[in-house]
Formats: sequence, structure tokens, C-alpha cells
Amino acid sequence: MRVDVRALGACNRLAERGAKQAAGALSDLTGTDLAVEVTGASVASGEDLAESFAGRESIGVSVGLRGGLDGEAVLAFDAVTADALLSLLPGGQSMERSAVTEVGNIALGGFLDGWANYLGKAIDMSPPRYFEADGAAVLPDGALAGDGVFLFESRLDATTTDLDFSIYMLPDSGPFRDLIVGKTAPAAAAGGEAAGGTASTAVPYESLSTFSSLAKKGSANAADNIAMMTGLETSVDVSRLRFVPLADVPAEVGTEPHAGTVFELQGEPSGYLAILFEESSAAAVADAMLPMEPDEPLGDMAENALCELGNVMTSGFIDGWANVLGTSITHSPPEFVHDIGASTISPLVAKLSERQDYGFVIDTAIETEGIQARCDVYALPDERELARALDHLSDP
Amino acid sequence: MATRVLIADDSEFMRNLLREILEGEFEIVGEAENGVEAVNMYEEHGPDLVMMDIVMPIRDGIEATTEILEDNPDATVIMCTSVGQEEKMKAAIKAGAEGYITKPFQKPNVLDAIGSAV
Amino acid sequence: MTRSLSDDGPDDPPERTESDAVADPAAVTGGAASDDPGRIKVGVGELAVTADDAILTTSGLGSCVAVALVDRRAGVRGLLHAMLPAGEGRTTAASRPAKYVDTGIDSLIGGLDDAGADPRRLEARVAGGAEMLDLTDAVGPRNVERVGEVLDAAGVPIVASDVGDAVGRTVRLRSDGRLVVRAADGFERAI
Repeated sequence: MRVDVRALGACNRLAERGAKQAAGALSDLTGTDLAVEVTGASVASGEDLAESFAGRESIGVSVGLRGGLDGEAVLAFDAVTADALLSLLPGGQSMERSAVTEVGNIALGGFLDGWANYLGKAIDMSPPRYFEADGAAVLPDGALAGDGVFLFESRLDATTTDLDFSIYMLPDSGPFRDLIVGKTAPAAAAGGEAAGGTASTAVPYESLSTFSSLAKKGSANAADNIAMMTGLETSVDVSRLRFVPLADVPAEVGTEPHAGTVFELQGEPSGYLAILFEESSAAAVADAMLPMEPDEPLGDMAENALCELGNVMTSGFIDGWANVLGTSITHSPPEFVHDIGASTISPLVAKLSERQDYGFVIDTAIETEGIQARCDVYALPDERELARALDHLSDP
Repeated sequence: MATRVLIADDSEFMRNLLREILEGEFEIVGEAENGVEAVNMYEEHGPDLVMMDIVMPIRDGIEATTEILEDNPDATVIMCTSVGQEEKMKAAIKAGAEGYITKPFQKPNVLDAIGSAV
Repeated sequence: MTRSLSDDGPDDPPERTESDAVADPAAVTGGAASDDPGRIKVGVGELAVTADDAILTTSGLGSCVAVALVDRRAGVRGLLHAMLPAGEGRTTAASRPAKYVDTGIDSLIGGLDDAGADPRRLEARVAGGAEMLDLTDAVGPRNVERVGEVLDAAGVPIVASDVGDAVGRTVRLRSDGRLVVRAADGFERAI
């Protein structure tokens, strides 16, 4: 099946609006301000999803969908914040399940309104089901099967209290496929026309899966390179390929100070790559690389060390791409950044936004053992060039 | 005499919330947890007004409303729903609902809706 | 009333003549503190307008630019977080005007007007537009330049700005119309 990236953008916008409605409903119910941090469609194998949710305990509410959309939608939050949520609801403490279930029901109703109105067809929700789940069991049924459908994800954050919600929606068939799945010939023709004959935006789903695995392999390479250069044991905690509004990416990085390196990618696809550590992690990793204690935690010596590390990680990260995509990709020298996390990535997002509102983001978290350090890698490829490269990927 | 209200919602949380809003000014004659109970309790109590949730197990609020109105054309039903979908609202109005309120609601919305329906 | 933690200094003029507004009666479904005037988060490529005491915030400005417009007399304020200088003539500018400086400012002034502000009384404060990276050819400074041009054309004076350099910023627009700019190290100043 072919997926039209443009249409995926339109769906993403619906999910975004739906998430805003849900945030509004939750704000009214809890009396605390909630904002949508990020909304995206994720492409991942069941195995990768299972890994990225490992160790989390969630409480949630799920509803089945019929009509305009078939599938399942889930509202979930971390089990550890359950008390915080209940204390915000009138009579919440004594109502527990019933309160949570209704909150989920109301938020999901808000989430789905936009879709139904866009589709011009009602979406029937089954009565909400309360659940407590370990790991990836929180996800809608079928998410782990990875049969070629997108998992829509939105994260809602309370601005003043420590309360985060996630909404997951897995549409399984029906009008949704018609929406995002281009019928090969017409979609390719329309895409070609729209882009002045230069490129189609419809790409084979299988290629997206392949690219997702490629990204995962790249993440493992990058983690190995950290291990090699620091002597620390590393592991890839999360690695996902997602399709998101670019404007959401800075918020995802957050406002904590970060240090790291950014690179421009040249070739097919071009784009940017950022390797960001929280300050303490950056200092710890630089420290591990340096033969002696640096005079200041994130001074010149640390900067040099992190640049070198970034170089090696980036090479490792994109190493496999060129081979698999059959193109050549190189990267610029590293540029050191040390500032508010969101600010460091905002110019990259701005540059890409000159050509696109949505983009694929490969988001990888690498953890080191022994010392507490964590690093996030964001790869932001140009959408059209990636679509073109992925399209070639499926050529026999 | 106070307006007699039947609450139909599968969520205990929501029923409590509505009860809190309505108690004092209205007489609550019963709380139904699904569409079938709603129809039975309507027959039993003959309330002036039903606050009806749409999404309920066994029989949903739209079906229950249709059934209540078949036998009691004068019944007044307000739909309470977490769903603001246009198509759903059309279905609710078509089934004969006098009005609807969207969850999460606040006391003034509820009283307004009741004021214009009764 | 939530006051900013910034070191305002003695020259900070007390703009508010009324006593702090009485908090809204607690909503039936609301359980949180009711003396919080509320905080409205403005995301990247978004804008917001308020006519009450809400604090408008936007975080993680790098090359992006924040434009705060205030009509003090009407008590109406608005904040824009724009990514790129020019949207005029672009197809996406229609659906996302706040992504661009020019269409964003137009749309912000329109929103303020609708909320009861008089466009002739507006004053502007500008923050952000940093030159964070050499890689991304001066998108920050170009944003700031465009802000100047567009506000000039609209006849809105810039009364204060904190722009440029290679530093990230987070800002919040208080109910008194001052824009509090915060750097990565937590240093804050009200402009």
C-alpha cells in the first residue's frame, strides 16, 4: 500500500485539533491548564513499540470506534500520577475508576469530534473501558501487530501541575485508508503535478517500515560509538520514526538547558541532525571522554570532546542510509550548541519549515549505564527528498 | 412543584456531578445506568425531564429517547454527551431531544439547557 | 495574584490602577486554585490574545521571534511566536498565518482589534531572533528585521526589545503589559 505523505499531514492536523479539544475538556474538568505538547503519527514495528513502552505502568480508558472511523482510541496517563489527577476531580478520590473512566470518555469524545466533522460521518464510540496496563499493553489492540497502519499519538501536558496524558488512536480500516492511502497511480500522478513533476509524495508503506528499521540500526550504531569513545555502557532506550508537525518539535525537546551538536545533512535526503544532552549528562559524558578533569564543566575542552563524539555518532547514524537508499549522504562539521533545548533546535525547524509544515522525525534516546546520562538524537530529513528516496527503495 | 428529573448516564461520576448541580432546585426521581433502565424508569416515574447520556451500554441514549417518545410524545429529553459531532447531534435532535449539552459541562450550561427545554 | 519572580527594580511603573481583579467564582467542575489568573501557552507558529489577566507565555525561542502587542488602556494583549520572516504569497500562510512574521503580525493586530484594542494605541515588545547557528543562514536576524518593517508599516512603535545574539529565550507577557524575558541560566528581566 502507498501512503500519501500530504494526506498524512491533513490527518495529523485533525489529530492535532482533536487533541486540543481533548485538552480543553480536561482543563475544564480538572481546573488545571493543559496544553498539547506534541501530536504525531508513528511508524514502528510492534517490537519497537513494545520496547519503547517497557517498564511503564499506565492507567487508561479505551473506546472502540465504529462508523466514520473504525479502530480504537485510548487515553492514558502514568500510574504514578493517578492520585494527582483524582485530587483535581470533584469527588474524585472516592470515585476513582468511575471518575477516570468518565474523564477519558469526555476527552476522547472531544478528540474524535473533529475527525467526525471532517469526515462528515458520525463516529460511534463504545462505552469506555477502564484499564491498568503494563508497558505497551496500554496501546490500542493491533498496534503491536504493525500491519501497516499508523498509530496517532498526542501528548497533553499540564502547565502548572505534574500531570501528563497521552492519547493514542489506531484507525484500522475504512475511510481512513482512503484518506491517507493513495491509490498508486492517481496519487503518484497528483503528487507529481502538485510538486511540479519533481516528486510524488506517495510512498510505499513498506519503505517507511524499512526506513524505521534503518533509523533503529542507526541509533544502535550511534550508541555503540558513545560506548567506544567514553568507555561507558550504552543502550538505545527509545527509537521511533514519527510524522509530526515540525512546530511541535522544539516543545518536545523542552525548556531545560541542553548541550550538544547539530549537523546539516547533504545528499538524498538532506536535512538536519541534532544530538542533545541535558546539561548534567553532557558534562558527565564529556568528563568520561577526557583524560583529566576539565577546568570548567562545559568549557572548551568539553565542547571539543562533544563535537568529536557528535561527529562519530552522526556518521554511525546515517551510515546505513546511503547503502539502503542507494544515495549518498554526507554531513557538515559539528556546530556546538548550549542553551534552552527548544531554542537550540528552533533554527533547524525554521529552515525545514520553509518547505514543509510536517516532517518525519527520528527520535532516539540513548542511555548510559554507570553514570546517569541520556542523550536524544533528532534527525529531520527533508520530506520530499525522503519520499523520493523511499519510493526508489521499493523499485525492484 | 419542583421539576422532576431522571438522570441516565453509565458513569457514576457523571451522575453524581449532575446530581450535585441539580439537587435543591430539582427533584431527582431516579438514576439509570443504561438505555433500557432509562426507558423502564421513565415508565415508572413519569419525570418532567430526562438528562440522557448518548453513549451507554445495552441501549444507547438515542435509541432510548426514540423509544420513550414513541409512547410518550410529550416527554422532554436533553442529551448530555462527551461527543460534539454534528452527525450525532443531528441524530439526537431527530430522535426528539429538546436540546443537548456537551461534557464537560458547568452548572450555568446545564441550567440554561433545562431552562429552554422545559 | 501571581507576581513574576523577576527583579523588576524600583523604576517599574505601576500600570494597574484597579485593585487585583476578584477571581472568577470557582467553576462547578474546577478543583484547582482559583486565584491563578491562568496561563496561556503560545506554541511555535501560534498566537494568542487575551482581554483578562491571563499570562501569555512562549518558550524556547531561538531563531524564532516573539512579538508582544499591548493596548494598555483597553487592557488587551497578544503574543505571537513566528518562525520565518515572510509568508505573504505562500500557500501555507493562509492556514498558518502565525508561522510567519508578516502574516502573523497582521493576524495578531486583527485579533487584538476584535478583542477591543485600538490598533493606534498598540505598543510592541520584541524578543528572540537569535543567531543560534552558523548552519542556518541568519534566519533569526532576518526575522527581527522583518518585525521592524512590518510594525513600522502598521504604525506600531517598538517600545522595548531583547533580540539577537546567540542565546535562547523564554518569555511571558504579564497583565501589566511588560514582557519578561528569561535566559537558559534562569536570568530574567522585564522589558
